[in-house]
Amino acid sequence: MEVQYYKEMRDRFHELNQSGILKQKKIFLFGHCNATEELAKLLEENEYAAAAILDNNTAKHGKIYQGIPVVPPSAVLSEAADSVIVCIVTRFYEAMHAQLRSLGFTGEIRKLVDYNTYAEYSLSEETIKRKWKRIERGKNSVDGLERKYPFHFRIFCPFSALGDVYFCMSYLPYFLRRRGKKDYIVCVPGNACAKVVSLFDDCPVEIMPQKELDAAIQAELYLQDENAFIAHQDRPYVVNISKALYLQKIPLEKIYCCGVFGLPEETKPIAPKRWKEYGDLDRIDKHHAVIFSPYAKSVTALPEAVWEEIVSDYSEQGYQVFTNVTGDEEPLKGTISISPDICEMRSVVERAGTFIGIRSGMCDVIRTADCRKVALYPDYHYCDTQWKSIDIYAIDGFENIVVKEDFVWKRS
Amino acid sequence: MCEDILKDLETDLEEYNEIFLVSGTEEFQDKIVDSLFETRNKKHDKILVLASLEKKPVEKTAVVYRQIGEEAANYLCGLYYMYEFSNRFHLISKMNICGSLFCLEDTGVIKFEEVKAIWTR
Repeated sequence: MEVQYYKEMRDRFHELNQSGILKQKKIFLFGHCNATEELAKLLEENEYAAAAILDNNTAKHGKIYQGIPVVPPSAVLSEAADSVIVCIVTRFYEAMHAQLRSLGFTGEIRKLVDYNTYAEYSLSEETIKRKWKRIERGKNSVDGLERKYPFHFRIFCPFSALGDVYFCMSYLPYFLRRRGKKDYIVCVPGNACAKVVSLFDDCPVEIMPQKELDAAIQAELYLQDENAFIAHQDRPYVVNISKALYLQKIPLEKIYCCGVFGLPEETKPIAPKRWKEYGDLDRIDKHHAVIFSPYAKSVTALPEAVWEEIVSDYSEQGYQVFTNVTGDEEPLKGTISISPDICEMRSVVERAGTFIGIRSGMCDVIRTADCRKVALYPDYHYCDTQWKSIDIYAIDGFENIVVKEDFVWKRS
Repeated sequence: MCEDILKDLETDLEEYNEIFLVSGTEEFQDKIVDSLFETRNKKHDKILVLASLEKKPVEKTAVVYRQIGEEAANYLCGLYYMYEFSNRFHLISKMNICGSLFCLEDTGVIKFEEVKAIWTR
């Protein structure tokens, strides 16, 4: 969960808490995902306990997450409506709200994060006017881009995820050639995403605040602009490519190659070339160090005990152990923090000899590095599909390991 | 005109479980509308299919087909692109500005039968 959304969730939670409503009601959460887990933790820290997590995925029903059972949405009906509050922190608030109401639930439903200003289930004049204003705001941004980069084709990467940007850039050259486009810009929601773009090409990159980027994309969609392309695989930016996962296991990379860019399956991804060497490589023991990467924005965190077990195993073997950190992230216990730039990561992991990370976009960034690479996968389903995260995200050249409850680290 | 289209849409959203707007070439519309008749007729849901194509209604199906004018089709497409006003209104169209299930079909990753199956979910 991104920091800005976490703060929004925390603020809204505190408002709810102060109103006293949480003390009077049984709390249900809707949608088992990383954001919901963050909310469950926040509740626990404030001495509340969620009664259950409602979820549409039948494969998750009966599972327990940190003592909270995952149950079908209809389970909420077994409680008196006025004694229940359902808290939603996923992107699908509108659809979940509509589902609960169609089930006949009349109780309190609260949205704690508003990251999908795209959806609002109303056709009122006021709503349409507001959405139209959003299109106008987006159009102004697009006009600004056009003035700044005249005759440039615009590529929009709407999602703040390094892996998604990596896949986009891996296949983009083929796509641009097909479309006969030479000059282009890439619009991304953050600095780290811009750095991933720059690993591949020195094209102009425009970093836009998320809400401004979303409005620009909405305007481009509305106008069906021939000079723009939205390089993403999921709603609200495209028409449900990811629904294909209900029927088939399709790795995310293939979804980008074939579903987003319409390229043949055998297309070879372009590798990033614009690497730089980390300035302080000498502090890393050559081929006798491990770079840990335990943090991810949109992936469920792994238990600290898992990391402690692996760190201690390498420490016992005399390895130097580092944690790759940014911002206010803390290094794992017993490790040294290291903060190379994204373009320096390859030199760092190659020098160290071993990289062990939660399966995040960082794994994509270093996927072409020549070293031992281990990706750890939390044991969760990809969205509401039957596939586990490893099915969708496994990377060739990595040791791909699912971390289940009985996980034991095996020394190689 | 826009107000009438909106009123109809609101009424339809109340009456039907799902609404599909099909947009594209005549050949594309024909293929998609036929497939919606095939795939949805065993369900109990009330389905409305909107397209600008002239089409004879198929009997023994729960799917209702309604031909709409180009202006109405364009307005509804625009509204769909503007924001998600319902999770029961679906646009089926090939898009140039982003990927789609049809890209997966064109590249052989999934078959048209599977694309149809996704609509039936």
